[in-house]
Amino acid sequence: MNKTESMDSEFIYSLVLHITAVVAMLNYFNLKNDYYRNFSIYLLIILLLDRYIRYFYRLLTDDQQIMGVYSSYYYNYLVIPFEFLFISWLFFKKLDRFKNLIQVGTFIYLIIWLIEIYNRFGTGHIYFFTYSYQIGSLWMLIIALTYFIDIMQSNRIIDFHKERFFYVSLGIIIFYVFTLPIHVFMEVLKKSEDDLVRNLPNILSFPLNSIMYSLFAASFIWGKRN
Amino acid sequence: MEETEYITIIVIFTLIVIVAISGIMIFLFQYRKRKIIHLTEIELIENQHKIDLLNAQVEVQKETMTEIGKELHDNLGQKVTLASIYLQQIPIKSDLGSLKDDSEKVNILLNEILSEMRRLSKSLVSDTLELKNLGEMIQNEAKRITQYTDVNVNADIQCDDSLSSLVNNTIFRIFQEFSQNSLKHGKCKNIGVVLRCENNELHLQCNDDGIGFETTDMVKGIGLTNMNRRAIEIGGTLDIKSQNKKGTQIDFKLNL
Repeated sequence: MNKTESMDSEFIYSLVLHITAVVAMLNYFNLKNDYYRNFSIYLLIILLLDRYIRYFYRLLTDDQQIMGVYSSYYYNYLVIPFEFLFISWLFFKKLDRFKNLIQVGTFIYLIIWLIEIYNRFGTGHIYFFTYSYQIGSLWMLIIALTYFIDIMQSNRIIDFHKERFFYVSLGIIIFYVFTLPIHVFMEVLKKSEDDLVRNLPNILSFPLNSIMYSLFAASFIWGKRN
Repeated sequence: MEETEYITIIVIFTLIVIVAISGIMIFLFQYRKRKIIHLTEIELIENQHKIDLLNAQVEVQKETMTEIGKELHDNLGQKVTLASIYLQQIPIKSDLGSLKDDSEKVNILLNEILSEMRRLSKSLVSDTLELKNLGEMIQNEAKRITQYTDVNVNADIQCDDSLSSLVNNTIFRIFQEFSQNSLKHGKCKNIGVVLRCENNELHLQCNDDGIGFETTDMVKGIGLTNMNRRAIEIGGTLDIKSQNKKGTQIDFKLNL
């Protein structure tokens, strides 16, 4: 994938994220007394974090290496945990039957995240929190699957296209089912002589993100409150 | 990248695709299965609804026939017998004055019989059950329960609206189901029933001071399901409130 194609892909992702945030905020006022309105706020925050606020550290330094450090701190300590924890909370509100499972899974993720912080602390190395990210991604897949198990065991499956969480869960599954294995085999892929294979993480990241956020927007348009 | 690693990645991605396809197929299978069950349930409910409506109509007809039978026997039959007795006496009497009296009595009786027959024939073709209105039916039932059981039923009726016999009967049955439930399961001392027709709305409220039940754990016994079904059949709404040891109350509302 050349630079232009990569930039196009990122542009489309950026556009989708903006549209999703707008759709979410337009629906915010219709969702009175509904916990789902917090999802609108979440999408707005993700837009700001991922597309705007992260560029603030460019104001702090021109050094690429230091920018990389700031970026790793930004994603390791803020963006990724925020994403995982919010999605866990959202499904915790939705899935009455699996509340204990969600609590346990969230707790496990937090423990691994804290362990990873402790291990990296003071080493001076810039690391992406690989293990906690992979555990968190797996956890997202499990949460989304529990929703599908829940809906398949009830009559709500008959009107699945009207369920908000159908679109959210589908988006999560599509994104993480492909990005998780890529992340696990990242080091292996980077060693490949084939350009396509070596750049697979970058090629797939933006399109998969675009699909996920499009489905999040669809949840506000086609999904109905129960 | 070594060949084994390459193969491992291919295998894993293939497995992911297979699992994804299997997941989609399982989802579609469950969807189809639930849809069929759901449509069958809807059909059963619709059929049950039709049967209930027919049963209600048959009940109404039976009651109407019973009332007409009673009227014919008790009222009309006696009047015809009386008229017949007066007519039998006419050949025996020779006094013109008493003959005139007897023929006048027979005339009055025949007029009354005609008037009753007109009223009865009208109730056979008309929708409105003029023999008893809803308030009377409830009050009679309340008196019967108070007389034959230890439970006191207090009926407060303020509704003169003329309703169809189907609606009358259905609302009466709701009250009957409630009072039967209270007597059988409620262990109550008092039952209250209030019937109001105001602002184009009929409101029936029944309550008892029995042991109640937890609505969250409510096992839908036949009585409760019947009440709900009857309410829906005539386009009304039924709200049931109960708590352990605090009695039970139902509120039935119908737009007139």
